[in-house]
Amino acid sequence: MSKTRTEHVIASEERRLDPWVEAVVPHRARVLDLGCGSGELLERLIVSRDIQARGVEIDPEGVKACIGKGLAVYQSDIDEGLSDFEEGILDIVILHMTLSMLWRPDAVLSDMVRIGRQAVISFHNAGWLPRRWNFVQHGRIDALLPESYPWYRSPHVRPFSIADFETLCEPLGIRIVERTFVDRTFRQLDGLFARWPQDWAYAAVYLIERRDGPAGPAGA
Amino acid sequence: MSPPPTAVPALPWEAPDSVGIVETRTWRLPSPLTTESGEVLPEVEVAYETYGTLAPDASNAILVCHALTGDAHAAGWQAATAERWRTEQIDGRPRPEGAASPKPGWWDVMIGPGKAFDTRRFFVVSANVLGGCMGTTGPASINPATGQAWGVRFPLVTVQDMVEVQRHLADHLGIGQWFSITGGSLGGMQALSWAIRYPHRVRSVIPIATAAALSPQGIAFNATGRRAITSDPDWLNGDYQMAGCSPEKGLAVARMIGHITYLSEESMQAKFGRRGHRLSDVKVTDTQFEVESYLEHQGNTFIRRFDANTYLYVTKAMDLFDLRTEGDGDLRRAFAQSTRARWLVISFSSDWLFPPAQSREIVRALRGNLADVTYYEIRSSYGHDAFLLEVDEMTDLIRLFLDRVESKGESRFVEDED
Repeated sequence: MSKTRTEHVIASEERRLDPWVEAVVPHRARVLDLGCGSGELLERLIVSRDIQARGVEIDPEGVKACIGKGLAVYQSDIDEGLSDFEEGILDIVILHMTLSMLWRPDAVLSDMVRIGRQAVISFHNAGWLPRRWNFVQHGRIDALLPESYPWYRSPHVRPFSIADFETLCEPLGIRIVERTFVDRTFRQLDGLFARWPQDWAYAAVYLIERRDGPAGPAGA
Repeated sequence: MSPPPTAVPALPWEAPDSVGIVETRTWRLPSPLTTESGEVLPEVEVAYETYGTLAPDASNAILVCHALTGDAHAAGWQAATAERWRTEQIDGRPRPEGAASPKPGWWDVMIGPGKAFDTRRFFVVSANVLGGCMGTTGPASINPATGQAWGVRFPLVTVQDMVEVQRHLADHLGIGQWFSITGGSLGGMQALSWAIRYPHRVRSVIPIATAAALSPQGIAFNATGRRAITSDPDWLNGDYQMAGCSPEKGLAVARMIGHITYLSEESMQAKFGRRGHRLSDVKVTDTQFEVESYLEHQGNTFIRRFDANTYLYVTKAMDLFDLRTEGDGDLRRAFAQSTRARWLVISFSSDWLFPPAQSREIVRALRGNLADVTYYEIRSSYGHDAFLLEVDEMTDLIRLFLDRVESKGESRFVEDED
């Protein structure tokens, strides 16, 4: 049996990035977490932000863990789309360290900012200089992938960098509201390093929204 | 030397997780029932069973809805069946030919002390559907106006009519709001219909292996089953009771067709395989393979307990069921008022009669309304029958879910909206 997405995710890294996601989620927001795993982030947000939580998860064990935590979670594939949600029906849609695992990242991003007033995207930066240097040295794709899995087993089928992400936002009509860049120890980049996030950010958290303004009743 | 004494098998109805010996009760509706199609049934009786104790505030009641050929007897043992079990298992007397093995209620694995629907906590109600033949008024009942069996003069029955009878029963039992309503297949359709028709009377819903509308493929199998019955010369336009006969051949074929749809290719492969044979011994009319004798056995035991006209009526109700009509063609709109309840939708990977895609359709409509819905697809090779067989997985999910309904009350997600 093939491994599922959540099994592949290095959970500890994800958890260390949680505070930076939490920082941009408003209190009492309606939140949908795409690829919520066992629901750790949602649980954290319920406690600290009193959010109203929903999750999507493909892995049965993750779904069960969520039910055990009292979360409402849909077992489904994010790539199947989110067309069933109306425009602006959610406050925040989260995609935590998952974008590089999707087959249609552009379509999912468009849907996220359609159904949510804002969206939070976090990801490993394939442009991080140590990765690039490693790639140049050895010429192996593994270097650009966020985990220690070899390229043929990595769930991250589409590694991308900060520059790639921001370039994609433009044609999708997405405005970047806030950006958080962290180093290898998950502390915020500061000083000179912060001037070149494409080179020095190990991972990034973006708060985005539609450029043509918040949609739907929740935006009023 | 004498053989070691054989242990007397424990009586299954005395097991700690059994609801024990149960009895089906019958209650008559206080007034005539107008069906969805506008016809009036002057007298309606409903057969039901209950397990556990209703809380003083009636807050712990769970309604279990049965599928096409089920009945009110969902759990425990009826006294007569228990007696048959005793004569077979303890006295060692042979089973009468053609008789089914003595068994507890159809969902006994799910209902009882410590089971998924824990009767130490919950008061579980199960009723035979309108149009049925297991105690609730149906085409085999006597029409008081004529003194004869209704036959096909019985009004058309819909899932909503079934729910309406259950609603009367709930009123009678003093249950204002169900803690949960559940059921598989047609039972799931009833649960969905409850949530749409009486959203304030449903705290949580657990539809299992069901759909917002039966697929054309499902309708096709039902139609073929009905044709088998009505083609039987003993059907007599539905008036076989008066003539003292029954379209047994047609009903058996209908049941055989049904059973094909309840299994999966994989489960048939695992269960039956292929027996070897010498061609010179084979006759074209022989029951050659295990799957053939299995289906024949299913058909032959079914005709002893089921009424052919009920099969026509209840399959028709399934065919007609379509929740989209409740939302002017839009399933999401159909569920717009059903968001106060918490939902657990369960499907089975190998179920091709009510495939997971149809459950996902329900889930998408619900989550489009921001309903509190959890969806889980159980990996199973049992096909549609899985809702009777995948006990461990269902129990895990349902237990966690019911705990959550208890601790959290009504869904909050939408409540804040104004």
